[in-house]
Amino acid sequence: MSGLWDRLTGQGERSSARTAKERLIVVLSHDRSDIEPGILEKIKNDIVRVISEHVDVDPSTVQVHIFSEGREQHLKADIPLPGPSRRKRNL
Amino acid sequence: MTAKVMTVTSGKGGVGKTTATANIGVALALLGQKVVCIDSDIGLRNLDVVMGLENRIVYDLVDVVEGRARLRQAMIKDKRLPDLYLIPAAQTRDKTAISPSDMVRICDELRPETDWILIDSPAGIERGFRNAIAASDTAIIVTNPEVSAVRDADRIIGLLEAEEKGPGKLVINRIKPELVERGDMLATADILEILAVDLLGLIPEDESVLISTNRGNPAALDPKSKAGQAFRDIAGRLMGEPVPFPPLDGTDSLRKRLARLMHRGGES
Repeated sequence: MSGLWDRLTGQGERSSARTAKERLIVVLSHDRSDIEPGILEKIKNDIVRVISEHVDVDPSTVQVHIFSEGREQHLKADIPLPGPSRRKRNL
Repeated sequence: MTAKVMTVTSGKGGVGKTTATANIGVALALLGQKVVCIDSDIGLRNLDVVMGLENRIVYDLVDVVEGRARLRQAMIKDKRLPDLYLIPAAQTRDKTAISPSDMVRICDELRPETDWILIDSPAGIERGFRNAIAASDTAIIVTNPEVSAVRDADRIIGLLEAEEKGPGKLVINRIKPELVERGDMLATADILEILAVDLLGLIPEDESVLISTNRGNPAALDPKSKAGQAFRDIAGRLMGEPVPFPPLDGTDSLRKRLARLMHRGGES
């Protein structure tokens, strides 16, 4: 059934165009901003370090990425905060 | 007349810049416009052979820049269309033989008596590209539905914006609709979403382009050529006509896929 759906929508494993698009979006975000992927990782680590001075955050849940709005590039950091129960434990 | 100066560029080589320049030039001339095509790819001259004018060259762009010929002497008149001209590149020199200010001076001299000046840019982003965009009002960015060509087109759009020549308009060349439908070629909508520029033309992969180039008769002259029609559509849009885009982009594909599936089902 999923095979039929894939054939209908052109999605699924066989759609190399979809892979191409996803790879292009990532590579262009780095090309346009002149931020190499390794630098993004360093930025993330620095953010985690600064935030951790004030709030307890789990580094594995922090996400830093570049996204495009038209031709404009934005750096977005998503830092999930610990729930109240966990915060209480840390007190 | 005050000519509009457009540079045809791509970043990546081999995507069809020269073919696009020749065909858009021909298509505009077919609409009665006075067009001058300039080959700025010094050392790798090719617009002459694509236009079929290689046997008429006496003087070239570098001869004009260095004062050995007047601009008018280097303008080769097309053999088919009365208001189409080519200024060929020099073949034996390198890109440093001309400067951006030379291009500005030449285009300023041509502007008052021309409708369109089309500058065929060399591949790359260095001196030759700088020369090609120096005098341009706007750019036509040619790309193919491939990762590397789209990436380089993005780089060029960024450089054009930095030079305040941008963002330019996009021509997607060598589209294979059957591959787009199958999900194995980037669709027009995807490329436009990624590059965020306006679309000027969609050119299907068409063997008539190779055949017409073999003969030195640009496909835009052939009423039966699909690619030729696509180039004539571009000329119409440049003239401000609301020419619709052909469905080469897979937008119609869900219905087509269903139809094919039913057909296949019927066979088995």
